[in-house]
Amino acid sequence: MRAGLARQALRRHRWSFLGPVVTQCVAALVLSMMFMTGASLEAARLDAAEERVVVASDIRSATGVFAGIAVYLSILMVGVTMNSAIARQRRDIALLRAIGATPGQIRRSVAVQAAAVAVPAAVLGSLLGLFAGRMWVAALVSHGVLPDAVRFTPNMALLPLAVGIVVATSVPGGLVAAIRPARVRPATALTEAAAGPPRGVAVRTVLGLLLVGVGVVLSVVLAVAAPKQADDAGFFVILALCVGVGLLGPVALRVAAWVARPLLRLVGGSGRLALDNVTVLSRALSGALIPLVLAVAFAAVKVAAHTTAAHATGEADPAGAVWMDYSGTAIYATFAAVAALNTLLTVTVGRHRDLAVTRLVGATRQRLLGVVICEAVVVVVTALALAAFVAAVTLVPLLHTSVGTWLPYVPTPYLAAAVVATAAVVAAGTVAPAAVLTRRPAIEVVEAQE
Amino acid sequence: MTNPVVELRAVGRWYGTGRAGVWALRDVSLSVPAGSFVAVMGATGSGKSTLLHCAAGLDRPTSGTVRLAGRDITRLREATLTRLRRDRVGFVFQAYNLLSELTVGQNVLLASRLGGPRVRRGDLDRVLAAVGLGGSGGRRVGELSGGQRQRVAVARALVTRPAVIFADEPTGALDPTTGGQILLLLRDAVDRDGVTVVMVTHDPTAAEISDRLVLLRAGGLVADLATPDATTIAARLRAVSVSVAEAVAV
Repeated sequence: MRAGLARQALRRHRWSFLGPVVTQCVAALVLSMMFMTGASLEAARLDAAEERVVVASDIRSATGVFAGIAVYLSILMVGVTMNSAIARQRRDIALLRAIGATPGQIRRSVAVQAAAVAVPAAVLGSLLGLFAGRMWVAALVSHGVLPDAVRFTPNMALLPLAVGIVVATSVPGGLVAAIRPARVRPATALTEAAAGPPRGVAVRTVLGLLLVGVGVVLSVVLAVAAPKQADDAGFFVILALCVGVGLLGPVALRVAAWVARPLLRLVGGSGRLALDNVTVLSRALSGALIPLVLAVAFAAVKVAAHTTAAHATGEADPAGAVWMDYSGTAIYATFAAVAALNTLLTVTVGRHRDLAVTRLVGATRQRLLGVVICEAVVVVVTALALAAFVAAVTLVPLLHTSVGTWLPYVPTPYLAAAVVATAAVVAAGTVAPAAVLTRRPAIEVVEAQE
Repeated sequence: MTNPVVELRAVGRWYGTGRAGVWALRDVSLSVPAGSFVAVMGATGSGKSTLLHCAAGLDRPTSGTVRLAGRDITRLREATLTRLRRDRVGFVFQAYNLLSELTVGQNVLLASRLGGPRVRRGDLDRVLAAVGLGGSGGRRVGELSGGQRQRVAVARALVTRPAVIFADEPTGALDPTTGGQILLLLRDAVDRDGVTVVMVTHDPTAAEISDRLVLLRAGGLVADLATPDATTIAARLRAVSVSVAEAVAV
């Protein structure tokens, strides 16, 4: 919009665009990776036997499916992340509505913002996709999915296509995200306090317990009654359990804070402050638990299904099939991680002023970051514990019927990777922005208009 | 007798749902002729901001009708109402008034760039000079002091030559001297350009600059008189505020 809401937003609320930017970057990365893999297949000169290997691997349709997933998830996630990005622009939007911007003009401006950040994000992502594509093609060859004759042969003409698709899919996401904020009456937005309406904790908890119960029963019944279909239905079990524990998230975080109390007391005042904060923020933070638990549990189920079978029977699944399965899982898990990152960022950036006030009343920057790190640890441990629970409920009955063991087996490197990845996402969404946001003198932050 | 620029007839505004709620305005009728300067006063929660929002088309009344710049806006479509505000109305708020990352000039031209009346280069310069910001058009608003920002807001309100300017506590965040300068800018707009100003304030010295004083209590209009001096205004304001406290106590 020529009047400059987009410019104001991109300059003033830079941090809030990290969610959409990372989403668009990941989407472009996956698209570029799949396009380049396709180009490599086109370019390879294959004899009849090699062509049969390629056809048998189903790789052509798999790249198409993965690209489709990336487009679908990016539309969805740009919508979600733009929604939290423009929540910070409430005042600006209300002002423009008051002095004469129509809801349509606001919506178009938000779409412009989404598309504007998509350009650099998608360029970066599609370039990174070249490296990722090279590694993926190499891995597909080394795992025997593709014949040796296939080499990574990127087609640069496809890069603008990947960028264009991501920019284009960002527009509907932005338009949808802006529907409600653009429609709000300017008087309401100019005066109303920022707090949302409180919702019933009891209803939430009961619903969460119900969903977890449904997940457990479904898992057991499937494993006993229909072991053949159980593998495919596993996703729904995970989904029910994840939404369930997501609804239980605030309670889970409060319990975690209570359990961790004696431990964190050793850290001193920072630990106590962190526990109080986790309790206060439990509802907001639990928004990040659903995608985190979903990603870790989904990956754990996929990995453990293969590794336990290999461990128990001594016969590994075909390496190629395992590799393709992991690749798809990685795409889902990455988008879920972005969703978690976005929620955590929104929470942390929303605390900007509170962090400054805490510093004004006497907390040093180091002390404050110590508090944020303690909070992050509580969130990571809670997420991993819930994910382990969800994965175990999904997997154990399945393994018992198919492999005949009660004990899932996951090699240590995989477990370490799950811990490191979860910690990295949580740190990137909490500690990193807190470190950047507390660089400015606290008094400037408090005095600056929202 | 000129036509009224703003006319409220039996306006009520209910906040809340079901039985839990409150009439922020009840049965308020008010007619503001062109070229007048009206101050709206009352205790906190008396409904003065709600009155301003309903009169300016920022909010819709629950009952009654509002006419603004010759049109009945009570049931106007949102987009049409927005364009009416853009073309015929100026706003000066207490705070959150400007887009801080844009320049002075860009802020002043916001309404015009949103599709409102075209503003010529010369008009922009003249308005900026009139509010004491000549030559500052290229400065970023984020760098300005509170008083300078409010001058930008007045310039933005004036530049489209609106029929009426609504000011919500325009001096609330300023010191008395700076606040006085902003009030004089509004007074000038009335005397020189024939603009109508409706201003909400809780400051008797600010209200003194108006021609007409409207007092609200608990959402109802309790006085409508030619503006007296600041001491009298303060006394009248105290009287209506005290009776609210008593009403609540009873």
